[in-house]
Amino acid sequence: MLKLEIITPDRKVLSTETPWVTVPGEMGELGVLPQHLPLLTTLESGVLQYEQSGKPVKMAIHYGYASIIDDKVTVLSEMVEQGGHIDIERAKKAELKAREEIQRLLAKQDEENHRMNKYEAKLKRALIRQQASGN
Amino acid sequence: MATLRDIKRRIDSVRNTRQITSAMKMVSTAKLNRAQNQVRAAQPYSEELRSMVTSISSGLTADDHQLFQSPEGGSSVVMLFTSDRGLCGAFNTALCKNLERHVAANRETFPDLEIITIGRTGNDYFKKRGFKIRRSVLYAKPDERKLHIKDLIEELNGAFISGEVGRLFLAYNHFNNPISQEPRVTQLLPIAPPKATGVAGEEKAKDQPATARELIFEPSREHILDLLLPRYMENQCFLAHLNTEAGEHGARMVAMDGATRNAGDMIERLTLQYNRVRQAAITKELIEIVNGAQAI
Repeated sequence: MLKLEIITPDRKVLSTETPWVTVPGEMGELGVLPQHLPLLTTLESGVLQYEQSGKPVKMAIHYGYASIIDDKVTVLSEMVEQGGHIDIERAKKAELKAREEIQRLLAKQDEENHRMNKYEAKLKRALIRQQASGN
Repeated sequence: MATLRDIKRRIDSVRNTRQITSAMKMVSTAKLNRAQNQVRAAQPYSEELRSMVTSISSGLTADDHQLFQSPEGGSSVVMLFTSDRGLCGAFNTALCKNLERHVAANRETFPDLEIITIGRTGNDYFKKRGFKIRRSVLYAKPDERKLHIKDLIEELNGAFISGEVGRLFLAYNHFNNPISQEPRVTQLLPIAPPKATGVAGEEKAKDQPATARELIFEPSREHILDLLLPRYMENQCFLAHLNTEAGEHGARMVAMDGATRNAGDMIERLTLQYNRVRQAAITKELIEIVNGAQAI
């Protein structure tokens, strides 16, 4: 069995035993079983999974660190959300809003690029005219 | 001599004050409870973080990371954590005085001192005494404070690496228990170089099951250090903030308890005086009546 602890700056979120756990390591998903070599890794934003009474449990992790020392997995993260507690409607709304905003900004960027090109061309023409008007 | 009415008025006023102080005490007790729980809840994270930093940096020397090296020159910065509000006994003054004395006694450790004040009372104290205030965070809500701290650490790390700032200290009241806080000045930057070097380090390596020697780092030790050290500093500041919060409420609770008790004593004394004056007046009137009756 592995000992799994998940801790955020303001509380201990979880302390349990589990036969396996997977963490979203920065170098890719990392599965941990007992007898793992001691390891320290940074975590990406991703999903952590472990098994509790025969069923896999999921958690959302937003960056952090994990250390695996002597069959003890310690996860430190500034933000952790238990899968069951996540408001999926809210998450979907947030996704929609973020996508819209990105679209809007991209469109704005396009427009600005367009104007930039236009004025660059104008500038070039004006400079050439000045050169040509001399003699 | 005070008339009956004067004394009566005095008693009422003291009674009002007592009501206020006892209400403030109760509010502080409730807030203290919450703050204390927060301090306790923050313990595991900071302990794990510290042990991670220790195991990652064991075997490293000061040259291995920028934040370990103490640069030549540069100013020194103290982050001072005090409360925004007063009426909490010697809580803030003790810390400010302690810091001022400490700085005066170790002038060479604090060249070109700049202070970052978090909390109004500390800001007032050092501003009045003509210290250079680099930045101040006043009347911030707890979660705003967290963000401020994050920004400050980022800024200070940049200033440290560029050589503008040579040292960074934290000054705060450590929360021992509700009735005792201890002023502390600790060094944050350069981060104290890891101790595990030489013979002592090897001994330590035997005690600890996993040291840097056997640890695998993903993606790399440097990368993890780069990310971990600022977090570590933030956490230290966050702890200082929590300790200050809990200490403030503890100190206010004690101060208000004392004030309430003093007000009670005062009411007792005034009541005694009031009764005495009243008795004297009655006796005087009686004598006058008796004398008047005899005269007839």
